[in-house]
Amino acid sequence: MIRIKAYCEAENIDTAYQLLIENRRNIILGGGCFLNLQNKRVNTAISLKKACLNSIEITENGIRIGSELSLENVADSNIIRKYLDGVLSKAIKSISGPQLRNTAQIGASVYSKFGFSDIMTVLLACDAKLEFYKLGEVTVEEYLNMKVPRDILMYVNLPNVDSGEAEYFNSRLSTVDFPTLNFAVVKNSGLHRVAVGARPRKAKRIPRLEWYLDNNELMDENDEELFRELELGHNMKGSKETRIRVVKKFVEDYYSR
Amino acid sequence: MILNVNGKDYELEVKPDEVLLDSLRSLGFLSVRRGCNTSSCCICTVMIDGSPVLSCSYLTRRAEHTEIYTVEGLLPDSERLAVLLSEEGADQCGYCGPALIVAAICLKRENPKASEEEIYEYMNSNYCRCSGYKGQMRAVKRFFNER
Repeated sequence: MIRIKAYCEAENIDTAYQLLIENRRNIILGGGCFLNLQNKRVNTAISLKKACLNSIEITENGIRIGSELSLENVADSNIIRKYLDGVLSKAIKSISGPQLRNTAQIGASVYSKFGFSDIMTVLLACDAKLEFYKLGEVTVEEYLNMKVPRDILMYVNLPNVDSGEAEYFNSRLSTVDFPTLNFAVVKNSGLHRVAVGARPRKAKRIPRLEWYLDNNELMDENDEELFRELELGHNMKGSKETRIRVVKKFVEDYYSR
Repeated sequence: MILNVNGKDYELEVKPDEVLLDSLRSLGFLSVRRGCNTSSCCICTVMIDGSPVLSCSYLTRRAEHTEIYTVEGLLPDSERLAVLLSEEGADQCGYCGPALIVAAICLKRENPKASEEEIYEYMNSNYCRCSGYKGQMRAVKRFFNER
């Protein structure tokens, strides 16, 4: 369980940031779904409840999602349901039940960059950007490859897409379990972006698989380059061999959808 | 801090890391129960501002200025669904019952004409470890068909 010494509702993001950097044991609060699963001592837990980060807006460059929104609010938003065939809604709705999705927040889910994250896989395929208070805007791809910054994630920005299509697949041992594999494809101007998550490591773009889809070809099971890129491994949710079969099945499903 | 539970304000002192489940139980709302304590089983479900949430993972301080409802405050719907659960033989130990009732009422308020598939999808994370789910789903479907 996380032990918290003090709780503070910051009036704005600047106050929250000053408080965050004041002490290395200060943290920004998310939804709290991992409160009982971690063992750590926190000096001040900073809530962003009053920081006005709980809306979805259409901007010049795309869609801006406030980090304080619950996963369910994001998935149910008409704007998100219309964006790229509702691919982000579909990924979020595959996570557990409404209770968890109402408790968890989009900002904390993204910031934590969990390997099993359905959301990160889709955001990577969509070429989404993350807007931090100090760091500014970074792509999800950059964020996945950098050290977690001591900063406040304010928005998740989805880029404008004129006429794209997208698909999301996932494999789970049971519907409310963590995924064995996540697979997201976005096709824009004839080119594909493919992201694979829960490999079991964090989501990653797979250029070799994008090449297969761009050329309308089925993946070659003996393609060493492809498997080097995929870096599939095993954990309690599935073996490396299972994951290879699941990727192959998802590519077939993508063609036959 | 002030906590609004079932339409009534309660003044209480809470620790910064106290979760809503513990606060509600300390106020005497014993229908809110601890299950897995890891955000998985949904036994601790309560309604906050009309949506079901996990009270085991929800800091009490976060719930300030919200409207919290437990089965005690959702009468007569909660009582009716309890009768239907009993008639359908859905209850054995009854430990998960209040959470299931809160979730079903939330769904009915969000989507009064929910299809069978939508009901299954919504309730899929409400765990029951003794009765199985058939009886519960029969009761929830009857609940939706009424009125």
